[in-house]
Amino acid sequence: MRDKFLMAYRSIRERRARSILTVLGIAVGIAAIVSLMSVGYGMEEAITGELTKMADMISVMPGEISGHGYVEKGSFTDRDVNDLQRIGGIKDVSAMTYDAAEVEYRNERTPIFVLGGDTKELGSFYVEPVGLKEGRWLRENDYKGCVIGDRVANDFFDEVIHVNDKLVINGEKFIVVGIFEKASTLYAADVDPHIFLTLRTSKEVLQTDEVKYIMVRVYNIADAEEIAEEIEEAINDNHGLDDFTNAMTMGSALELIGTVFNIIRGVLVSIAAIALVVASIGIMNTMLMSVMERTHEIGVMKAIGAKSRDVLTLFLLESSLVSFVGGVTGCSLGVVVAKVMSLGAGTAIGIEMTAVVKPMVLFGGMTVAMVVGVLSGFYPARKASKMSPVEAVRYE
Amino acid sequence: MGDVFSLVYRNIRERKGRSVLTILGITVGIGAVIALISIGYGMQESITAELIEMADVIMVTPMSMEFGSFGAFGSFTDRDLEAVKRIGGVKEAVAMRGVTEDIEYRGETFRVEVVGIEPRDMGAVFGETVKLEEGGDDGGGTTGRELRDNDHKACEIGYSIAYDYFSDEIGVNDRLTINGSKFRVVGVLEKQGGFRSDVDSQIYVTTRDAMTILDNDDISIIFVRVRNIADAEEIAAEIEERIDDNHKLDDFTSAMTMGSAVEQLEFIFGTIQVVLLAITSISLIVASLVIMNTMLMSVMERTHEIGVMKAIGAKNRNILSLFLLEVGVVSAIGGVFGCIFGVIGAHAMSFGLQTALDVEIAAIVKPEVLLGGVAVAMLVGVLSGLYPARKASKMSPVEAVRYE
Repeated sequence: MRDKFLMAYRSIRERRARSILTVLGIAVGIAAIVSLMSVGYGMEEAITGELTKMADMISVMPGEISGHGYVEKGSFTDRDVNDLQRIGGIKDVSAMTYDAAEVEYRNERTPIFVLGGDTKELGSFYVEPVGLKEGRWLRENDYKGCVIGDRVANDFFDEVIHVNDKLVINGEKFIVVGIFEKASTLYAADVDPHIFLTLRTSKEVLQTDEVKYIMVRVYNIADAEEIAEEIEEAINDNHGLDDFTNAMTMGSALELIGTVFNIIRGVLVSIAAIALVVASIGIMNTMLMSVMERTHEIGVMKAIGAKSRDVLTLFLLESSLVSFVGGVTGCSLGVVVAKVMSLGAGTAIGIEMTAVVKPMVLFGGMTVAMVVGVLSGFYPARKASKMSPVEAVRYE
Repeated sequence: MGDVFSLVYRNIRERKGRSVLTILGITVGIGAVIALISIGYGMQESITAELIEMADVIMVTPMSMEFGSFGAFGSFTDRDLEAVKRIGGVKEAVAMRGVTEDIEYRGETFRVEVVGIEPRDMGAVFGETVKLEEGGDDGGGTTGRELRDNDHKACEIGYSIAYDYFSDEIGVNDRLTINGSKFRVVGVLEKQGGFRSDVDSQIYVTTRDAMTILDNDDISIIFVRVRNIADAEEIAAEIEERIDDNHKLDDFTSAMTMGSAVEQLEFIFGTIQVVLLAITSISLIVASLVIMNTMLMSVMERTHEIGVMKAIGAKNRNILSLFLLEVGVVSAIGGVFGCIFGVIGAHAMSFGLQTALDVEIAAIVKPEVLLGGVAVAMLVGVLSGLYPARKASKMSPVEAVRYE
């Protein structure tokens, strides 16, 4: 076996240019697959990473998410909130309300959405991931204080708003106590265009007792799905409607994202795999030529006693060696490309993203390279092994 | 030149197995590119085609039209509607009063958007695309009829309302309870899906009923059709200004032309197509490696022959063009086959998508794409054949002849 290895190695080295080109062909194909997979996983992780921290959360909305977005069907009442607090396994229930309000700043009026809720809950939900640029977060006793998103501060009015500036919201004066940083893509829609108040003040300003959104934290993540169903049932009962509410666990949201990413990755990788098909054609071509060139040599080997099987394994060994080297090169190239790509894509979209190189992916890349090598080397190797020694020796 | 061609032809034929494999390599690469582009065009077409019919439409809503917005800032008044109607270039302006109500049918209750609209305005909103469902129980014609001005407590319902929401199907002349009042169904609308899927889950009543029975005075959407599509953007800007003025608020209204929606979609599809193409062209890189390999071997094998040709007077240029021509012919054949396979592949994909996902996407094969495919194939071939061909042309005749 060692002799065969040596022979295969020698014959690869002898035809160096050709071997390098063949190796490069496989390497490019494998690199494409490895880098796409790694960037895909990286992107998924960048999006789900933040959400995983909130896996104990259930968000309850008075409406349903259908094909074309979210359809609101009404609002919750205090009774709903109280009922939820009685369900077992729930650690925390926090009610939120939001609505459009007319906001005035230096004689300019614009409609802006106001979001009010439990300061602690809102804080852990938005302040930790997004961060404040100026000032501080709301306190429970902030009666006339508000915190504003980046776009409220910089885009909505002609003049930029700073901490301690005064806003008039629905006719009442407020002082800006804090301003959010510009949020990442994941939070931009939630934070940037909104004004945040405490639940008490928001109810006054918006003149409503309605709760538009309830956030629930559970003790045990494993129970989340069950509790979500119980929540839906309890609230639907209260309102006498079948599909009034939608309680979504973070777990199911994560699952949904995972499925979407699996589909995207599948499509991209199968397109990249076309390159592997071409690469396998390249291997077959090289091997066929190698066999042709060495017809005489094969004849001599057979004449001095080599069996057909020996010749077959010799050539298979050669093609798998080439594809092995191609696989290794491809994996390393793929990792490098993935890092570069995720850096570029991350800055382009504005999310922090690092490529996630899974050992499984590298292992899979190697396996695919070997399979491709052996499969496409099989026909030439068989052709070599089936040669008649007499004719082969005569070939010049 | 004829001699050169016959020489090239002979060379390619002589090494049949190798040539076939090389051609196959290019065929696969080009085929993939062609198939993806054609499917991409088909996808784009199937989406924008729906919107073209609505190209003269401006949707005016009291909310900011951006991803993740929570909902409406408020609603419009009749004064806003009049202001919009007075703007030059506006052909029709229709007020729609949408509000979510409890709908009861045979003991089940759902919350559904009920839209109040003047029956004579429905044509302007629905255009050619939204029609009554065809083929009632009698086989021909349509189910029910459109709303009429003098209809009282009558409604037209969307497809999903009729068939998906309630466990019993709703048909013409059935009665629904909307917010406590009984309404008779006079017509069921055809299934829309896609961009007008909101129609599927809406109920339409007359403006009078919406205002008197449902007590809904607020206009939630103003639907505008303009006379001249080219002016749409300008008119949209003017609409926003007028209504914002009425309410003394900045950025209260957003008037979106369908043209800008189409542009946005085209941008998204363009990006997707570029990414997919970039990935597909990796296979072209591999194909070019295969070509280079084949040509290098071909040059090596024919060293002696090249030496002889040079000895009897062939110039460097002759040798170079000989090999370039060879690689050009191989890749042109590959390009042509690639186009053929690409077209077949695209049709197969569109068929697969249709059966698997039930989306109708026809592959659109543009002649310039096919032409481009062959051109790219030849470009790849000639570029990757350049190095081997140069190597051959630079050989010293003395050494080449001696090579065995």
